[in-house]
Amino acid sequence: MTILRPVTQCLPQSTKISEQSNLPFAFVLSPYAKNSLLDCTSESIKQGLNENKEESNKQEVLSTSLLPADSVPKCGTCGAPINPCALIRSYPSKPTSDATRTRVLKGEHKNNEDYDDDDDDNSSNEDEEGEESTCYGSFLCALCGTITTLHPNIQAALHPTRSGKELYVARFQENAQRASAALEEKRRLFSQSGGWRSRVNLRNERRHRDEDTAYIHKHLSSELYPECKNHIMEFSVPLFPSSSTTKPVMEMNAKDCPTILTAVILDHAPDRSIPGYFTSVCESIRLAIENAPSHAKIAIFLASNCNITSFDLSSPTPHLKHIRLPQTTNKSRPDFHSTEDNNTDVVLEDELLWNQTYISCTSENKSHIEAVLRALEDSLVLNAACRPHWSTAKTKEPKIPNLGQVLHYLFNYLECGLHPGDLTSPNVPSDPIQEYRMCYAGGKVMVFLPQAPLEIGDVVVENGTFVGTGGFGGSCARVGRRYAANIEREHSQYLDGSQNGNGVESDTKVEEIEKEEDQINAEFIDYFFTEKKDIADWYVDLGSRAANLAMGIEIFAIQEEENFLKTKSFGFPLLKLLSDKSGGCGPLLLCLKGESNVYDRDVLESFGDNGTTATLFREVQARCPWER
Amino acid sequence: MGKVSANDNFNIANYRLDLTIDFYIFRKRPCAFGAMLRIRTSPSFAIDISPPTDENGNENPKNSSNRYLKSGGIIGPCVSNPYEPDLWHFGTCDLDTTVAFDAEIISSSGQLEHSVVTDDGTVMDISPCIQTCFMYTAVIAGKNKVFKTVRRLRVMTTNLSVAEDTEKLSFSLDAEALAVVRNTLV
Repeated sequence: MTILRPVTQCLPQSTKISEQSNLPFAFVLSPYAKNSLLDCTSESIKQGLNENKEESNKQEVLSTSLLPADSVPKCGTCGAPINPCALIRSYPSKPTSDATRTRVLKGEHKNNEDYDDDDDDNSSNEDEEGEESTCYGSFLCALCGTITTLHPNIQAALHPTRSGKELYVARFQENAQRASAALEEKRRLFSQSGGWRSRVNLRNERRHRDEDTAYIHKHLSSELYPECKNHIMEFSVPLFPSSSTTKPVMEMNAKDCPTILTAVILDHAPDRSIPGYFTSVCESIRLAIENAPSHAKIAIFLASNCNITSFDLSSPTPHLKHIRLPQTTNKSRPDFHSTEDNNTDVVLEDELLWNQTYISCTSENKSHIEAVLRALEDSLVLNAACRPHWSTAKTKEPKIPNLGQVLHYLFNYLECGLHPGDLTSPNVPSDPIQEYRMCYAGGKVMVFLPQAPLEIGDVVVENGTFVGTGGFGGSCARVGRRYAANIEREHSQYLDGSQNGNGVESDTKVEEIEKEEDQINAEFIDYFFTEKKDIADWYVDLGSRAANLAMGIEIFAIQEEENFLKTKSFGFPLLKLLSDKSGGCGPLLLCLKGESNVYDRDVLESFGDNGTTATLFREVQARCPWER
Repeated sequence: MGKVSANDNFNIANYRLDLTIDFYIFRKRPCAFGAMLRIRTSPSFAIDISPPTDENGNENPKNSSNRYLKSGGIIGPCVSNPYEPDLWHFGTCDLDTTVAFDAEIISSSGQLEHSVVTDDGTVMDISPCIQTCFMYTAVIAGKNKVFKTVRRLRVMTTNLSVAEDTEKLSFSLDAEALAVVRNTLV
């Protein structure tokens, strides 16, 4: 149900009264405050589970839910759906002229003068006999104050693209006929009891007319139009716009149009990660998918300075797919699917990405996700074990990638899909599943941050990062370079560096890599601050894009306990803009409470329920798209 | 504090599947995706979409951070449609999602008009009215516990009474709503 609460339940009659009261003329609205009137809520599910006993109730619920939105008459002036508070009457005669409409108007809203005089009643009866099959009515739109005659042509003109107008016409005519029959029955009963024609007292006659009108409005209309019972009504709407030749899709199996969860993990160099960061993030994802229904889909992205990496979750063995963020030297928006510099980058194909990136949370796939999470945790161990010289080589503070750019490319990718309510879809697919690569209902993007994003924090970039870099198990290879071809060279470089005294040559090599990455980031910063100039505006745009994609952004900023609330700001006012505009619950700042280098789940459990790590788990679970 | 739910459909032969799905349904909090909200009001008043003012009451939207709070007149987790002034988009929307908006009287007389005159001169009483149309996508449990994705349109129309004096207006104050509005603005 929708809850609307004005600050003052009575509205001020004038601006003067409003100013004198010093009270805001404001409203608070909760559009989705309670469960749907039509959905199988806990109570209705409880009834519906026992199909034998509650079949009748279930059928009633389902029959109501089948009422399409096109069956609702709309105001001919403002286009508003019929006001449930308005008086709805059906008239047996077809109002073909303005004069007829005026007569309808009088009968509609001036109850004391209802039915005009006796002659009109006679003519009305004649019309009923002559045009029983075509019944029309009119209603007053309380919003704009105009009278709309429920004529099929008018309603069809209001919604020329909708194919369900026939449903509206059929339903309304049926209801109108029933109303006419009920009205005649009422009149017949009045006539048998003497009727108002035999009454000489005009007051009594008027009183009975009023009773008749009130009876119709109170009982007949409420039976025919559920809107008169409830001031909140809910209707079914096609999932996708349909043409006149195609049948509208009113519902889909959730497996074909699922909710999706996209986990985006941002981090700097793996050997510089906050102790327990990856472990906690993976554990929170692991706990989140435990409660996921089988139709929900999940994807895991890693992001570094210059790369977006996606896990191939369809494979039982963890495998990474890389997307290198294009350079922005031309001061224009880079192309996400650019094939330039393919020697070092792996550019993914859309079809491959949809099928392998987003997988449903079935029991079989959950084992794949578990393998990926385990590999991600282990990659940190491997990097720390195999490349200790990296840690010694870098003394500057590491930076994580720019969040805005990562989300920009992620949204570019998601825009290739289709979701209900997407007003920007250029074509109307006959079969959404075949036409588009992925069809989804909506979802959440969960972003894990160990530090303020690049664009929020200092604009100085010290080094490049390679998070979850490449190949089997998410480790041991740089982006775009295969594990087998480079591991020997990497290993030999490490050995050479060790033999030459604490890895001096390796550090030189690393510095070259860093220099390359710095160049890319400097170009991005140059592009960003010359084109956008305002991070808040950029984040608002990203939040708007997320809202149009039916995705809410949840941000979890994680810090280690030692530096909790001591380091630089995360830029929460800006992150809140990003999350709020998308419909998310807002960013959350957490600290990892526990010992360093925690890689074991058993050790992690020793953190206890009172630690903020447990809070992270709870929050991630609570913000999943299948939870809220 | 907890909640006890009875499952009359428990089947020992398939208890793992049934219990899992039933438990999920019972504990699930619904979430709407890709929602769109349209608010219609009576002609005499409308949503206040004027730019925010600073502490001195001057309009300076460029340098005011409040400009990000309002989106098409609404404060909350939504964005306004740039092409339609009375349409807002929600990426996700749950049971706790709440928005607030200010209204203003826009009639030339400075009063809320609660009567209209039709073309033939008939005067009809119409109290001020607000209509919200909320369209969303949701995943619900259908027949045989098969989840399905549906799209719904929820229409709420409310007529509101009018206070002729300040006392009546103050007497009808909703403290919780006021707290939400003030807290949001702060």
